[in-house]
Amino acid sequence: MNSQAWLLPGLIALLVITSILSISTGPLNISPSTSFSAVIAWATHYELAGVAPHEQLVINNVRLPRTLLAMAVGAILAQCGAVMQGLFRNPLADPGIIGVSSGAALGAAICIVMFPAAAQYWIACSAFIAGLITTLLVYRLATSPTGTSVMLLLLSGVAVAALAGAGIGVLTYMANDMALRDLTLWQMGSIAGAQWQYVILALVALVLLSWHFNASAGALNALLLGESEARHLGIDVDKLKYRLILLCALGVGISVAATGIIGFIGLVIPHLVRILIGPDHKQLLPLSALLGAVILALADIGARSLVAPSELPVGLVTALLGAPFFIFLLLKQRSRFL
Amino acid sequence: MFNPSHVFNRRVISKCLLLSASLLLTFNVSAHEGVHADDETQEARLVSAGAGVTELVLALEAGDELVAVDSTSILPASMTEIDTLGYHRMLSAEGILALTPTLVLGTDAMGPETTLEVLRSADVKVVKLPTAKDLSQLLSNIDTMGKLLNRQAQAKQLQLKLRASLDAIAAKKKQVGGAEQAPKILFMLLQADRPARVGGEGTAADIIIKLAGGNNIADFSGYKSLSQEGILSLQPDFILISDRSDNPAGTFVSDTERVLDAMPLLAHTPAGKNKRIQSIKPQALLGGLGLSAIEAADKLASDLIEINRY
Repeated sequence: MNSQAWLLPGLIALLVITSILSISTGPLNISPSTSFSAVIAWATHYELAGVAPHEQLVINNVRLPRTLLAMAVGAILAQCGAVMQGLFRNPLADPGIIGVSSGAALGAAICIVMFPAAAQYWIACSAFIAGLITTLLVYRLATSPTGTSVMLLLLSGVAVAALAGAGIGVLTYMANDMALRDLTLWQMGSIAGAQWQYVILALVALVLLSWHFNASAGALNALLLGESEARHLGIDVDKLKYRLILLCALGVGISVAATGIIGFIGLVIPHLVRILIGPDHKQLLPLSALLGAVILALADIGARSLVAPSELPVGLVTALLGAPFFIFLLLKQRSRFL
Repeated sequence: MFNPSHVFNRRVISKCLLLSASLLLTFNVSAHEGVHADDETQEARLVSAGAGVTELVLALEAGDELVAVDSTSILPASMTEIDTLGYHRMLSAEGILALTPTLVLGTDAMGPETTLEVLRSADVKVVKLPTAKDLSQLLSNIDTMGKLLNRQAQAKQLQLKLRASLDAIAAKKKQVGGAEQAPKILFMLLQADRPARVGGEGTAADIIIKLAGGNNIADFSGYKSLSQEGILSLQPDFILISDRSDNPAGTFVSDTERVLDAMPLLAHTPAGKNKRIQSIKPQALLGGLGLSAIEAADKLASDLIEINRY
């Protein structure tokens, strides 16, 4: 029995454990058995003994949506990262490379600074729309009558991100103290504001994305051979690119709108999985999704427990853990790059 | 192309179950039963989010009921056992609920709304007070808080005291003279090695300057970075500063010396020549018109009388 065969069941088991851990830990001390009863009560409306109303409330309105949102967003980001790395054939690619994160940040910044009275819902909306527009802009810039060049896509992504960064800079300069702080915190990402609407949206997006991505896994594998080779195998490469980029923009857009910018999940998770099982997208995609879900849920547990009753932005936790881990991976694999 | 049956065959599922079961067992053994203290005594437990609100809580002698404050609030150094909640616009619902508060007080900026919603549904009283921009709002806030905290007597006294100090400021203002004689005042936020940020209209410093009868010569709104040259051209009679750097232990450097050391060009302004550079307590600059702001205005008004004497 090799270790790869254990990976899928291991990750599923880990996902189950993580969700139990996430629902039963937090600043409020609720025992695992009470949490379990509360979840049963939430799902079936069958009241088991021993759950105080405020405990039920915390489970229903805080921990369940947080857990589900963290897992859905983690899975979306990790899969989008894997797809982008496959599409660009570049290990540096992450979901933000097509401009969606920076565009969304600009959208959120416009809303936070110009309309300080706007509700959270509007910030999410404008982040999502700006992310989508930015991605389409990047795609247009890279597309000529002869097709879409991956190199141009990469460069225009960088250029447009720089432009969005400049826009955010201007808004930061204009902002008053409160908007400035709101903006900074938004850019660090947080799952604290998880609401059921976002959870449902993210889960629908996750199902849609996973289904489409898996349908394209074979084509992505072919693309690893090179673009012309993939064409010879009968794959419409340009259509594939357009579809995958649009899907990633949708997925990441929804994630960013719901949680703000969460870094490193999309970059590190697919790398890690690739090291464990190799580059076959048929396995890489579902396993990345699982690992992404587990890691982001764990990071969120840390975010809400470490400095209770206050809270850390979860993007800070993923970056703090993700960056050193990434460096460690690079050092371990140095021989491969030489 | 993706066939779930490849991945989720029976062997895989049985492995999943086995692993989850074994891991769960170890988890359940280590997990301790949480005990939730259900005090029926209903002693007041107060959470305050917002610098101005916390200041009022302390002034109303309700500090002993505080269990947590947000990161903008400033507490006396002796109150160390009080938890910090983070920024008052990013409050954590569960974190606050875990403190079992009876009342959550904040400004209208407190949020996010989802958190407050959860708190309200958990039967925690959540009260938002409008940020005070003028005296009537401040007095009405004190009134509301006096009732909420059961400190009506203290509230009455505080209101009297405030009116008295505002009367005193008004009297000093008369001595300073009319608007055309009002000394030109500049407020700067100092940041080490970076251009100072000058407070224009609508800033907390502006409220203090106007209250004291001074003339804020920064005619823009909000905070803007100004070079030493820019400040020199404004020729302020008086400079107010606020900074976070303390004097190194054992030394005492006056505000004037410190500022002129960092920004030597300012020695050529009337304020620099006459050594009229003063610092304001950081509390006075947080959140509209508050107690420290009125105190700072009172001090400033006294200083302005001095200036106009020459």
